Amino acid sequence: MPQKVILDPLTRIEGHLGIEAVVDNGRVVDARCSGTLYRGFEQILIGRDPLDAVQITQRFCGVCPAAHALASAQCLDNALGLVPPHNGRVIRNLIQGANYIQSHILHFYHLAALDYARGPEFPPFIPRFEADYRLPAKVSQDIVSHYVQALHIRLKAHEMSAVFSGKMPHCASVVPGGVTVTPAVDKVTTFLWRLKELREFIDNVYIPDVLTIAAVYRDYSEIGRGCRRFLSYGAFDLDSEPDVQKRTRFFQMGRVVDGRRAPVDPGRITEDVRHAWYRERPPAHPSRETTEPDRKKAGGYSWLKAPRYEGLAYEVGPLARAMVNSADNANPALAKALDGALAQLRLRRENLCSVMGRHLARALETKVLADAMADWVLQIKLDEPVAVGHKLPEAAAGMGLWDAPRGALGHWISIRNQKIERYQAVVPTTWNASPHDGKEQPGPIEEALLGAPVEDPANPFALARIVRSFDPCIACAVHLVTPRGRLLASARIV
Amino acid sequence: MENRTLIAGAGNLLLGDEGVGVHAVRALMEQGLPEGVDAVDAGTALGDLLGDLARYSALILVDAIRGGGRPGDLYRLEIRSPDDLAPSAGPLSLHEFGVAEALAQARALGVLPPRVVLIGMEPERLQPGMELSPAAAAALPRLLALIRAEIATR
Repeated sequence: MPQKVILDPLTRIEGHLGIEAVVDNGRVVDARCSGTLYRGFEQILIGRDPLDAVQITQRFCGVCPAAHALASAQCLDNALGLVPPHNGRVIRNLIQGANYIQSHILHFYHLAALDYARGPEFPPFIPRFEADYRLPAKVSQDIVSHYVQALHIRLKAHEMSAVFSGKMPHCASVVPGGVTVTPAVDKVTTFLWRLKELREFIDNVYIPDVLTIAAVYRDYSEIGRGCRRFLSYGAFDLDSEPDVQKRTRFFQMGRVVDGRRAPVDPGRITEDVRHAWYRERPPAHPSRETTEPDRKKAGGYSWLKAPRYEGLAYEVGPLARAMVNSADNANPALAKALDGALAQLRLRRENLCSVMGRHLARALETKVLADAMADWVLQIKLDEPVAVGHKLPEAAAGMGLWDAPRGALGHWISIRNQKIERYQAVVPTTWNASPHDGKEQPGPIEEALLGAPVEDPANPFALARIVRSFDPCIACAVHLVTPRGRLLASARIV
Repeated sequence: MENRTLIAGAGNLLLGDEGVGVHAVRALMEQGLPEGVDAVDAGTALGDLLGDLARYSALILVDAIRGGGRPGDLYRLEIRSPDDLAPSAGPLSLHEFGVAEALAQARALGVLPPRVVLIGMEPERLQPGMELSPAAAAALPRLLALIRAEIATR
């Protein structure tokens, strides 16, 4: 006798993101983005052995654990004064690179593509908003068949990561000072063999599919522009410079404001809680701020704080990396790939600040990264060390800045009596999905929703496409209200 | 297909009893498992199981389940049809990729093992923390026994 069961809790990490959009004359005139689950994970770390942070922070999230492992390990490298040897640096990059590839392919095929290609009539392809499918039936079918292919490709990417990380989704081999995996010829060949298959998929399936959708949905090269300020910590270290701000990275650290590149000074980052459910206090740096929940606070509408750089909201993620790395040819391969795609689509550079721009940036970044990894894996030196030892100091402080697939990820630690005294993580979705701040400036997703077309409140597909283009780490319930505040429709995004 | 069983422990280790599935498979791995039975700590990335499922004739998923019972109560659900689990209306993010979505997708891909059993425990506390609540810790041996009984009926 089958019974219908609704599972709760489903496996969730960062809870739900509620989007409240006010629609007037078919356009969004105000948007509020609300993270509705309190994350107090940092509290768990207090009083523990600092070395545990690499394992514990990975459990924040089963989607991008590699990024937390890397940010946490670099945070401890910084606190303990460790410089990983050549092999440690290269293998860490390979573990993270494999995770970028799987994350981006997964996002496009298993989350985003079905906003544009009509899937078959059974779960997980239904329910969905029934509107605005413009692709010819044959093209839709092809993309849906790639959805299935992408699952197998993703498995290959995970296996590739596990060659050096010991296991996925939670890496076992990343430690402060390097990694614990012994490089061997068979590991290198196993990795390369899978990478070859991934590169073929990226070049012949993933990028063509993104270009096809971008060409048909040209209006989405204008929709969802966002705040047009971009921040990236960079990722994939190319040298062993201890100071992260002087280190050369494959994707470089930087900001882009008014189309021009500028440096990043992590000291200028603050988190503002004016509209977050935390006890009111002035904006403070993540290494010094307090986190005291206050669910009844007037004006509060989110459990996400509002990270700001010099008081301004910044978008993070693949588009931010594309902007930073092409502004002055910082990453020539990525700059060239972006120019080529824009030329093929007959779009201008400013069109990158859009829903399609985000998908393009994600796909092209996947390609240049996969191409580079084929060289990196050959740089492993089989008979050299993979880590340096460490001595735990009585007291220390450290910072790890690293771009996860979804964008800028910062970890801050302070150690006292050889135990963790404070730990703070500012994750990419907190930047992108942040609420308004004390100056009433909207967060990047909130701003991207302004002006979005909503013809039918029961089918707000444009809002779904905008929010999803940021690849947020959260599920959304979209509530549409009239300017007078009457609820027209409430829809779970599909 | 040969007779192989996969036990997947799902959940977030940082949210107290939400991690009960992971605690359970870790205990099973320590105690040892019979020939033809694998256990995996799936964490919060159930979608990652899809590539491996085709090799198994049976899947036992272990997770915290809100079934309305008392903390520590155990549940056993045999999934026979797609209607037995209601997936959410399409995930926006991978964090929404829960048990129902993973099973629906495995079915769509044709990799869902012929036999799928969900074994769960009613949680007491889902607040941040890495330890099980007293009720869940006390019920853990019964949960392990239930999983072992399930293996024995293969």
